[in-house]
Amino acid sequence: MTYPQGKRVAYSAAMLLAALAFSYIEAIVPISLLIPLPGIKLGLANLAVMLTFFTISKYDAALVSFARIALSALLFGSPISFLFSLSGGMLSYASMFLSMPILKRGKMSFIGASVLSSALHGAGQIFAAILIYGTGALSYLPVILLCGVPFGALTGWILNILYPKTEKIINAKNI
Amino acid sequence: MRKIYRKIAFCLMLALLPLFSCAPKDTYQTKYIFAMDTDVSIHISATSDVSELISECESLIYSIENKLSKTRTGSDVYRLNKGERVSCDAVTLAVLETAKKVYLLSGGAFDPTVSGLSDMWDECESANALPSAERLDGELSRVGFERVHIENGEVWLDTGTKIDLGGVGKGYAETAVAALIKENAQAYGVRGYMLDFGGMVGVFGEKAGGDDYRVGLRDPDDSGKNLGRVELSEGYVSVSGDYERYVTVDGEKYHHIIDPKTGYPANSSVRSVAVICDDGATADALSTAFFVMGYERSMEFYEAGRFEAVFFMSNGEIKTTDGAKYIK
Amino acid sequence: MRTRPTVLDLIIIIAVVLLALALFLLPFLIGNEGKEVSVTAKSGGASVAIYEGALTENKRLEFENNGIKLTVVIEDGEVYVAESSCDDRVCVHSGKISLSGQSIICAPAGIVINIGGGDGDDISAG
Repeated sequence: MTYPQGKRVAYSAAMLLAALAFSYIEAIVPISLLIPLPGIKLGLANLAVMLTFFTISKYDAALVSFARIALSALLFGSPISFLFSLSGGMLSYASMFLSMPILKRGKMSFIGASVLSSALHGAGQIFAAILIYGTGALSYLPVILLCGVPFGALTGWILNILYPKTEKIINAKNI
Repeated sequence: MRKIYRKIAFCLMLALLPLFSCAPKDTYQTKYIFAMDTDVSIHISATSDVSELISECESLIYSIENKLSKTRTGSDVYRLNKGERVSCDAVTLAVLETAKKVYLLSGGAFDPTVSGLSDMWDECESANALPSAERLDGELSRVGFERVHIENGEVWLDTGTKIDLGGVGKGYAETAVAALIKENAQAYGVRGYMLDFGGMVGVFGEKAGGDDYRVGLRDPDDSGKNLGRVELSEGYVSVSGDYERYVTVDGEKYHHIIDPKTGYPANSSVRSVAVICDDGATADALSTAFFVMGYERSMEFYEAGRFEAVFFMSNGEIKTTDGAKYIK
Repeated sequence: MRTRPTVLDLIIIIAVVLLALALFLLPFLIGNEGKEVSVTAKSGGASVAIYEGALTENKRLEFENNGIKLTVVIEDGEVYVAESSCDDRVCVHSGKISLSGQSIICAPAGIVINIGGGDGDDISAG
């Protein structure tokens, strides 16, 4: 469904802000001190991207995703973290295309879509790591995949709750 | 009251019991040194610390080097090359004996008296010119082990003849070190050990896992890779190849294994030959001899059980003797 | 769009977990025993080898790069990071590696520890 441009812009901007805020929180709270596994992330920003993808449009989601990655790298990241995020972000975005038809047909909920998204995000990060550190980085793939599951499932569960509410808001006549 | 203490003590003992059941852990120790003009490494697997043993091996190597080195002032070989009549050390005599044996066995293909020719080639590299016919003939006339005289422990050389025991010295030193380690094996709990004296390898004892040792044979064209390997439970593997050392004259490479008959680097269609034998000095000398002789002539000397060999031919073929356990 | 969990959700989760486990076990099943340890440090864009040695040689090594100090231990055919001054200590928790192809990476320090040379030869002649 295509929405009027104004709605899309306003909505995407809000999503971008949310994604950025989530990224900031993740950067501040060092989860690696609690769980010292390489590449472990809460993946909260993915909530915003996925929500945009499945409620507004794929293209807006791509913009939100890319803008979030670029801005958070500029503000509180580094060139290397940008590469990792970009690589992970691209693959995880691609997974949403895969998930879309399956979601539409009701075969799975956002939990499955989110786990897929996290898994591919992790794979993307490892791919970037191989480019920088060599094929030894493959050793870390199992860990990243495994860590992606619980957090991916968590964001998926949150998405399950948020989706109907968001659809309602965005389809409201007087906005 | 006392009953409780006894119970506690008993439980403590039970708890500590597992500690005593731990099997001694093997240590692997490796030492790299530079001696005899090449890289030497000693690898020992034992149940206790072998640093002392390795130090002793090092001393042994240096003491042998001091006798056999042609560059070290005062060594037996140095003095012989200066024309002196030397009352040689037992080590030097033993090495000369082996050298003579292989010289005769190989019909002169292995000949320590090519030292003068080697020096000549070094000069050719500096001058960037091939040797003149006069120079070549002159050097050739001084070659031949019959020009080495050994009598009652005294050795002297014909005028102008020079010897270089490098072609058999490494093997001898390695055999001596192997013997030293074997003597002390029980005291240190040595399980297995490997030695590498400049590419001349010796393997002994037991490898963890009980299989034979796998000794890789370097690819003549790619020093980082091995073309294949030889399986060996114990013994020496000595390789002579055209890629190890060479001088460059006018852009062309001239390798270091001189054919005593021509004075030029041996040209026998062999890139490298590996000799497997249970004596180090013999393996060392034979590999040089076989390289000079080439495949056919070398095989005339083949006797199963005395040694095995693997030839990497210039045309890419790989020829092995029947008993050599060679795997690609 | 469905928002109630389904069987497929569970299948996907299990599939990813199984994949991770399989990838984890792979080196142990088909991996070759490592022979050599090499450590590289990244400076700017280039990777420089700062240590190369046999896996059979027990050693305790200290490295420093990008202001971070690492203590690497090679012991009984295994390699691990004993100490690190980096923030998250991920490298220390990376465990011990011993097979050809395995690595430990300390991203903040830009240091990579590799195990290689599993072509099965114990020693090379020639």
